[in-house]
Parts: sequence; structure tokens; C-alpha cells
Amino acid sequence: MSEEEKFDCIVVGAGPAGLSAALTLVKAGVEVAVLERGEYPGSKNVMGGILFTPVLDKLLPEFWKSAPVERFVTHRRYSVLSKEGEAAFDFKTAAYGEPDYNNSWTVLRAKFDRWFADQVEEAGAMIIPGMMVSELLVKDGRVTGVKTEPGGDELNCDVVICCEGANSFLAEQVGLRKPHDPKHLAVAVKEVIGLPQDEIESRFHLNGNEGCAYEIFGQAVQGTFGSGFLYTNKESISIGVGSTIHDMKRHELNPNDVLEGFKKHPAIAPLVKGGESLEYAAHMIPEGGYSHMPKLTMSGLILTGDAAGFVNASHYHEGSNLAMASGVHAAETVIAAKEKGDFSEATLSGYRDKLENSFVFKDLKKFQKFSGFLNDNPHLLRDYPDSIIGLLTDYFRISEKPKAQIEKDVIAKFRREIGIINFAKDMYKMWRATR
Amino acid sequence: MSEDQVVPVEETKLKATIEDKLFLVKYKPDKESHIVVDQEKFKADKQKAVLYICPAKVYELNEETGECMVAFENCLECGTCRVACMEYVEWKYPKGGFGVQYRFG
Repeated sequence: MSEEEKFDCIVVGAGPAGLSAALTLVKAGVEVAVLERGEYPGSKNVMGGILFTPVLDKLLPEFWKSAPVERFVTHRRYSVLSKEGEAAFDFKTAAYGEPDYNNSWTVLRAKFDRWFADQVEEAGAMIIPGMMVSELLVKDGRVTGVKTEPGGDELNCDVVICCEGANSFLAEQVGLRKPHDPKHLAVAVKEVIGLPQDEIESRFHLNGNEGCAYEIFGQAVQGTFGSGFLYTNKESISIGVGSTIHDMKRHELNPNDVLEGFKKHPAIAPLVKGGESLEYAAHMIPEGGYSHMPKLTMSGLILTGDAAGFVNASHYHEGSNLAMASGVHAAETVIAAKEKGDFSEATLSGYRDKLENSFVFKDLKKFQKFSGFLNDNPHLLRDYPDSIIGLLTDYFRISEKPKAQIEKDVIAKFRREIGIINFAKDMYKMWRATR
Repeated sequence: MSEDQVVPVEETKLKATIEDKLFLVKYKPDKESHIVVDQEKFKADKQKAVLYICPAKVYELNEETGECMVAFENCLECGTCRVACMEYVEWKYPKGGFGVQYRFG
């Protein structure tokens, strides 16, 4: 490409945000190139394994008919682990088993993103894999293009939509974001474990293509600020753990040791028994939320997805859906900017207004205090699971002790270990943190 | 290990150590490292968190020299080292097309 030639828009990264942006742009006739550092789209992309799809279903209606999705999620389970026990909240409904399948699917991202990229390419976007953007080209305070490795080529454009993921080097380069704070980033490791399809369905009580999502706290991650997860795919399960880098560092933990502790827990071991490890992966998750977001735009640049910290790190554990929504909003902003012929920060800041009106900011705002609350109250995830399971263990223990005495003893132990006022305060604070 | 402690074949398919798990991961290694450790700052750091926090155990202490050895070709590209030990680890992405190639993700 000659120096005079330039793209309307360059998208950095072929993940959910980048591909959603590119698809929205080509549908509107904007010339777009997606630069992906992996040898193929998806080859660098990792998540736990649940994809929420209301945005995707608008972009590619009834995608599930052709996309490599694994199972639709009909079964949600939240639990806490002590060293020996587990206390769970368990919910399932067949009502999620019909289109739109509650917009909740288990996927394996290397396969899914590759398929998604194919659809975007068919729609007319240019996707260039094997190209890593090493820096943004900046001239007079505006982004004018990107520099790539290998080769050091420079590509020019009117605007860059940056969907580079959690590490977000480029946002840092241009000063939209400060260096990362270990309290606001989690490291997660994951294993995909192969099991026969019928074994998965009987082991997890699934009818046909139903799937389940387990989120597990407490001893799942050795009481740190994080959680374990277990999701069912067609012929494998995705199992993993994640905690803030701050906590992992402080407690001198290796993420794989935490994962192995989780796999060996008596409540988890029977679920993975006899399986075959197929792949091991690691990834970072930005969990700072609304109150630690970077600046989102400058002249010629928009940040989306993980690069912008758009992760709902509450019990929803939602990232890719926010990434897709932000990709669409970034593209809409670029389309409007192209019509005006103005890619200045003033025009691109319309992106923020779109996010304000969408579930992206509404949800991030709702949970903006949640992460800080858990960081400030480590006893909730460290001590409560042990105490609660200890109390239940006493309550359900069968002996000749009269039931009235058991109740009395359990209540006395509860007062001693937690305290009614402390418990009420914690519950009130937790409720406040999600308001 | 005595005869009766031998792990059955089907159990060994479930991997536990990082070394065994890295065998499952596909890579296209570059010749040049994408990681640089400032050895003096590493030596001066007491906690040396990079030695335990990396999910792929890329970083290992050379007991003789006190330096940090870097098996960059095993990197899973999460970036945790850069966040946890920014004082002495300079980590960037491998060049386009190189590095880890997840098949499942």
C-alpha cells in the first residue's frame, strides 16, 4: 500500500470487540482493516467459557445455527468451598432451552472467534492475521495510524478502534491509561478437560445439549479475592481459577497450584475424574470496573472491550458481551464521524454518550463499588465460607444430641464466630455496594 | 514408588504439573525473546514474585549467578509478570504470528 493510501478505520485485535466493530463498519460501507497478532483470529483469545450473546444475535441473527457454540446454559450454580465441604445455590430451568437460549452459551474462543472472523470477512472486512501493532502513530495530538511487527510497516487511517485486550499497551502509550494496578487485574488459568459427551450429560445432569455454569468461591481459590469456575462444553469441560494479581502475589501463590488444589477438592474431583487434559491457558481480566476506567477517546482513537476495562466482575462475570457492545458503539461513532468528516476528540466522545445509554455503563455503574468492597473486606471470601460450612456441618450432624440443643449450639457458634451484628453489617454493606 | 502405587493409565491423562500441561500447548516460537529482565533490579528485589506468579513458570532462578533465567518460548502471553513485577520485567507481545497458538482458548 502506498503512503497516500489509507484506510478509513483500522481495528486492532480480532476479538469480540474488534470483530463486532468491523462488522458494523462494513455493513455501513466503511473501509476497515482488522489487524490481528495471532496466526489466525482466536489463536490468542481466552476466556472462562460463557458467552452472553444479546449483541451477537443482533449482529448475526440466529448465529447458533452455524456457529461453533458448545452448549446453551440452562443451569447456574454458585457455591462456596471450605477445605472439606461445599454450600451451593443451584438453579436450572428448561425455559432457557428454546431460542434465544437465554443468550448464554459455552464456547471455546479459539474456535468461536475464528468462525466469527470468517463471517466478518465474508461481509467485506479485511482481516490481516499475523500482524502485531507495536505502536500508534501520533501527530499533533491525534492518532494517524499504526506501526506493525514484524516488518515495522506503517499503516495510515482516519481512526483506530483499539480492541487490543487486557494488556492494553497502546492505551498506555498515548497516556489514556496509567500502568496497571495489580489490585484491579486478575490472572486466570484454565484447563480444557476432555470427557465423553454422554459422561458429561450424566455427570452434570444435562438433557441433550443443555449446559451448566458453576461459579465457586472461598477455598476454590484458597480464600483469595477471586473464584473458580467450571463450564460444560459438548465433549469437554472448561475448568479454571482466577484471583487478583495483588492477592496472588501477596499470598505467594502460583496460579496452577491454585487450580490443582481446586481440581483435587472433594467436591470437584469427581467432576473431572477420568478426563483428559487437552489444553492449558492463562489470561488476565481487568476488574477495576467503572471507577478505574481509562480515558476512552482521543482524536483518531477509541478504546473498547478489555482494553477499556469493560468487565462486569460481579457474580455475572461478563466481559465479551460488553466488548461486543462497545465494539458496535465505537463503530457507530466512527460512522457518524465519517459522515461529518471529523475524527476529532469532540466528535469521537459521542462514543461515551452511547455507552451511557447502553447496558455497558449502566451495569458497570451498578457494580462500581463491588470490587473495591471485596478488596476492602477480604474476610468475606476468606472466612465466611469456612464458618458457614462449619455451621452447616454441625447442624446436619446426626447423633443422639437433641435437635433443640443442636440448634442452640449452632446459633451460639454463629454468634461467637461471626456475630449477628457483624453479619447484618456485612450484608448491608454488600447490598449497598451493588446500588 | 512401589508397584501398588502406580497411577492407572487413564488417571495420568489428567495433567497436574505445569511442565506436563505445557506439552499440551501449541507454540510457534520466535528466535528472539519478547521478555527482558533487568537482572540488577531483580537481584535487589526481595520478593521475586515473578518466580512463582507466572502461570507457565517462564522465570527461574539461576542459583549460581542469582540471575533470572527466562524460558520465553513457554510464555502463555497473559501479561501477569508485567503487572506483578513491573520494576524489573519488561514484557511485550511476541511479534505477529509468533508465540502461543491456542486451539481451544
